[in-house]
Amino acid sequence: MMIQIKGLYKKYKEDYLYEDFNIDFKEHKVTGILGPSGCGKTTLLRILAGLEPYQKGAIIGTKNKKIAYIFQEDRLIPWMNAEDNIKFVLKSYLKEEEIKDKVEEMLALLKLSDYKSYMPQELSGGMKRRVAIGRALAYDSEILLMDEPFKGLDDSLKDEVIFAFKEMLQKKPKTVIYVTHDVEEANRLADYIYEWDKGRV
Amino acid sequence: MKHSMVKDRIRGISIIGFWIMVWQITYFGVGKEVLIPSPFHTFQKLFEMIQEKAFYVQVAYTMYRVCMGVIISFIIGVIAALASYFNQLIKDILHPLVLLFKSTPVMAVIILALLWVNSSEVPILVCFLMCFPIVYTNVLTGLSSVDQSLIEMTRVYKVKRRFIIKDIYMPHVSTYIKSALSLSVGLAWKVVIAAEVVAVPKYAMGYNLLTAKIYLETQEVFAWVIVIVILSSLCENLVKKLLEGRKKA
Repeated sequence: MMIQIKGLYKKYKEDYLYEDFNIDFKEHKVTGILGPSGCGKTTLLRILAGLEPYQKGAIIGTKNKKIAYIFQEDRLIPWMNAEDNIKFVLKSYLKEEEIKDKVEEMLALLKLSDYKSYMPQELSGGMKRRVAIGRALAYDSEILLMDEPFKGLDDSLKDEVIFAFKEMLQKKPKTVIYVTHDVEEANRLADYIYEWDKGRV
Repeated sequence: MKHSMVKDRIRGISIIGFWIMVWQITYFGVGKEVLIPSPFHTFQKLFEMIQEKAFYVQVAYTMYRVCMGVIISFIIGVIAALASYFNQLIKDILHPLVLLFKSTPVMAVIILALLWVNSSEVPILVCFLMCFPIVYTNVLTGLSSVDQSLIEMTRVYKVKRRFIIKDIYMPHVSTYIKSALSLSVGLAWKVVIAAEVVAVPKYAMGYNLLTAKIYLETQEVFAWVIVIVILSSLCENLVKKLLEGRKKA
């Protein structure tokens, strides 16, 4: 089922960020959202994730769906190592053995196997980003929301991660909504691209 | 490692030795045993005291009051902080009460407690009233400062409540609980002894402190103070060790 936003009204302070806003996101496709800072891209992802209240409108296709979210910040638990940070989101619905295999696979895919016991404060910015990506990809979601997911990764690593990401999507398609500033990156990854300008597409 | 421990111990003993020397010089300077007794006479008195069975009974009763006061304030403080964290109305209702407990002089609390409960329970009640705000404020601060971006993350990933409590709230709040316990234990000794001095229950270290003062047995007053300081620091260290051990486990 595709995700639809119908007649969305969202206020930010006194002004409307979205006013009678409508958009569709195709099922099992990667949709990229491009646009300048402050135009409401992150707010839209937060609304889709159910984290942000809005004044009026309807969000169709996200209810009771498993959602993974790569936030703009890494949001890693500071007192858990890289491996446990990924495990944390899985243990509410998977058994210990399944978690172990899944986490091992994800750490290998993101070239983090040697750093699995490192605490977030011991990891570089790029490594922390990869742990956040690993956490979202390991989670068996139907919808994946990504906010500048490859920020802080160097070019060669970004290529590898994008390649692995595409492979994963081929094996298990997800509806991906993806916010970025990087046009080239969006062209490589997205099936569709929307360009945002202050709440208009 | 072992070498540095020995070094630390020697350093600690030297510092104690230094202060005993200062005490001895002050004693010579004042020249009146009734005002400042000599360290030798004080330790002699202490040695006599610890040979009596009654000493251990008094210590046991005071320790019991300290433990009860801390335990009750800890349990009620944690429950009240949790209730306040989840319910703004409860927080608003408790706010003036906590403020009252925090700013009321300990002597006023002791006098009021004397009107409400029997003399043996006064120190426990006073200890609770003095320690409760510390536990409540610390735990509530800990709960309120949990990183909300992590809580948002758990909402998206539909993490079960028990894992959120165990893996996010508990590790964060434990630092605040540790600090609350450490502060409470230190304060509890002071408050319980003060309450015992005023309430004069049958078996109490504070009561002995008072009688020693009445009979101008200053060596005995000093000896009791030494016992109180030693027991208070032992309790604080025990709590610290227990909490550190728990963290390692």
